[in-house]
Amino acid sequence: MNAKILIIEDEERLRNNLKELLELSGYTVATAEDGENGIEGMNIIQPDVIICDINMPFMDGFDVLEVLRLYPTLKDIPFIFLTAKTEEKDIKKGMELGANEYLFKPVRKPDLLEAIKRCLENRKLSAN
Amino acid sequence: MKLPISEKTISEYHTLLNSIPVPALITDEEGIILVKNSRCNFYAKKGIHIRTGVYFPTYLDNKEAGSYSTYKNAERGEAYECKLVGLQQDRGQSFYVMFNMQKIESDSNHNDYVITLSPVDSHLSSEEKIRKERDFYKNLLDNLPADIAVFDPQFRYTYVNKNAIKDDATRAWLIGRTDLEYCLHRNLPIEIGQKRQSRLYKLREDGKEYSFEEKITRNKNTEYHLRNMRTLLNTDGSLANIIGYGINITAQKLSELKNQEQALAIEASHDGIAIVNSDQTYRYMNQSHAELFGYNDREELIGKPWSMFYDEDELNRIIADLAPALLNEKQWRGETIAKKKNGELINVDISVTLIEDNSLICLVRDITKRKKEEEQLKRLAVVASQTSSFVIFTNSNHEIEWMNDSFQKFSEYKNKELLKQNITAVFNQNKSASDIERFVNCINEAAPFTGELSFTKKHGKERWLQINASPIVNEKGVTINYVIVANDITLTKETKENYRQMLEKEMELNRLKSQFINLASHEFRTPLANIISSVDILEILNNSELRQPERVEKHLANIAGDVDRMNNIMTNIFDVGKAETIKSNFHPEVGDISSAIRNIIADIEKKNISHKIVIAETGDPMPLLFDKNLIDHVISNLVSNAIKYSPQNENVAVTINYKNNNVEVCVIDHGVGIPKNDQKRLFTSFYRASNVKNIKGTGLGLVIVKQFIEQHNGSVELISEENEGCIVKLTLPTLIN
Repeated sequence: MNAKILIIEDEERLRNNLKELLELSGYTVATAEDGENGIEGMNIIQPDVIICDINMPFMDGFDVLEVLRLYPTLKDIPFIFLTAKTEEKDIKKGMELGANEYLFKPVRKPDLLEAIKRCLENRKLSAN
Repeated sequence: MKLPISEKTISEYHTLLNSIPVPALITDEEGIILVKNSRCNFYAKKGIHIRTGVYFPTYLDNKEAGSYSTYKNAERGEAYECKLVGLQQDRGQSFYVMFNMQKIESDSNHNDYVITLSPVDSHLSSEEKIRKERDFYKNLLDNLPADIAVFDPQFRYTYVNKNAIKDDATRAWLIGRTDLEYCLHRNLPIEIGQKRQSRLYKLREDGKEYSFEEKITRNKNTEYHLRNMRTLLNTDGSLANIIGYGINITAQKLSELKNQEQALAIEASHDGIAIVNSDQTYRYMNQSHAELFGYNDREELIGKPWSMFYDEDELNRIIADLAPALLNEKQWRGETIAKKKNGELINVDISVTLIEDNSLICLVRDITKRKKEEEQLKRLAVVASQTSSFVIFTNSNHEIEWMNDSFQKFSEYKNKELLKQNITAVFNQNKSASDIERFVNCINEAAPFTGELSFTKKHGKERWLQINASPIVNEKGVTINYVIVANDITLTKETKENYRQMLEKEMELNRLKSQFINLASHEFRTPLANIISSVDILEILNNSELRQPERVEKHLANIAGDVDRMNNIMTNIFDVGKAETIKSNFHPEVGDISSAIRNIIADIEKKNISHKIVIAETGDPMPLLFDKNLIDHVISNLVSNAIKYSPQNENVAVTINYKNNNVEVCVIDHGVGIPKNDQKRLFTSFYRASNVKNIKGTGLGLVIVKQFIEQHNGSVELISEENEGCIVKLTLPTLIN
């Protein structure tokens, strides 16, 4: 069975492109256009990896990660930030909140797939 | 030879005796009773039978018989009145009467005496007489203003008078007790009791008389007593009693102590003090006086003339000055130069006062050091007044006491306007308040101060002064005043301030630039991410065997769209730079701005479906000169801002109002608004308000708007409350203006 990936991204075109790219790479992909929908979605589909933007209206990526770490059923899902925020302080904040990976936009396919693979392997290891 | 007494005289004597209301008799000069009155019979009842022709002294008892010599004294005209004498009764006892004897004055050659024998109280016995006498002495002792005590050889009290111990019970209690017991009883310091006791022992041994002083402090009162003790011996030489005598000498002692203190003070004085006899020689001087003139032993100078310390010229000068002053005012004060023992010259300040016996009290002070310091100060004052720096002296109250000409000229004030002013008050209190506070603190703590203070000249010009204030401390470490040296540093300070402001501007620009670079890179990253992901997908599609031309086309279109988007951002950035050059490309034309604005909004509405844009116009339209392209950019920018920053509210309004020969165009939204603090800076390049959150923008829009409107001689105004919305008001002059 294919691994499930949830993408939370407010920019529609990028959201669709990422979904398409990851589906072509063999993953099952769900998307959400903002943080609130993202959290709702992950409760339903229980993804194996979450890819999340940071700059979003109302609830940003940091908020999403903070909230999901409160849910016992969600807190262990690997979390990847994919963002245009490249400043040192943002990376630090993201990693401190417990993100597994922090990727800058624009990201090339091999880098993205590598990061997803690492997350899935870590998840498998900790599950065993 | 004795002459017989005449009948006539006898009859006169009878008449005299009968007129005396008490028993009376007359004797001749031998003491033989010549006549007696009938009242003498009164004594017959007491066993005393007085008869004429009897020698009167035979009636007197043994004790009194011996003193008949008084008779003889009476011959010399001495009267005896009210003397208590005893008459001998036939049982051998005495009967006491008041005896009075007087010579009878007559021209005859008889020396006769009239004697009255008034009976006293019939109960008055000899014991009573003793008791009366004892009472008399006791009364006397008790009322003596001195303490009297009598001790037995074992030092026990046998008597103490009332002055010593007022309280009867204590006095009675004391008899038979020692003084040590008394001291304990009265809670007197035990040393006093012991001291008295040791004196008593010595006294018993050597029989000498002892006098000593006692200081007794009780209830914070101190009294001084002089005690005297001596022995009273029996006839065989053995010790009968010890008599103690004491008087309160507190008043004398205190005045003595005061005198001692005054003498001590004179001795301890650092000033020389001397008393000079009327013959101008020294009678007394304190040690300081001798040392002042270089002598260790003052005795060397006693009896010597005071003039020895002065050379002739100086002496003449002093005397010419001093003599009239002493005559008129009994005192003189002056400065002079004296010669010490070793020949060294010293400056002295002398005060002389003439006292009663034509002696002089002289007070001499060595002022050599002070004189030298004064000289030095004079030289320093020359330096201070000539220097181009400002020099100010204060007194111990921190008031300006002196300032040099440089400062006075600089300040434009008159000397008297600044003198007595508190030094801290002459500087601007509202400029560099922390430095002023520090200055006040330093002055109050007698600490040195360095700092920059602002000073306003009389005619209003403000200048900055570099201040160096140093406390001047005397030998005892006490600050007596301040010397303040100041320099005008206004120019340097202004230059520094200009550099500082320039640097600050530069730093702010740098900060904004890096903020912009971050923003710009962020803005570029999203379209770039789209492009790259599309390229990745195209790569996969290209390698797969499936041919999906629509899918490829979609991604190619997407890539083209994002490239456009990036290009737009680039254009925006370059617009700022362009705005600078636009001045030369400014091509205004006369036109109707209302219709121009309506066209621009119609174009926007075609692209935007989320917000409704309402246009309202008031006033009579007036033509104006404007560049259509610039106004297009301005209105588009403002309306798109209004839409962007009011995501929750669909209404945006544009009002056009012709008023006072101007046209006012307002773009109104009800969005997030702009915080007060950010409003001013929004017209600065790259600056964005703090509440924009994730709304995208470059922070350049309003900068460009402002530059374009100013190009039209117009102005931009921002009216906004956070969370209430925002009004941007453009005012442009019409042609009629």
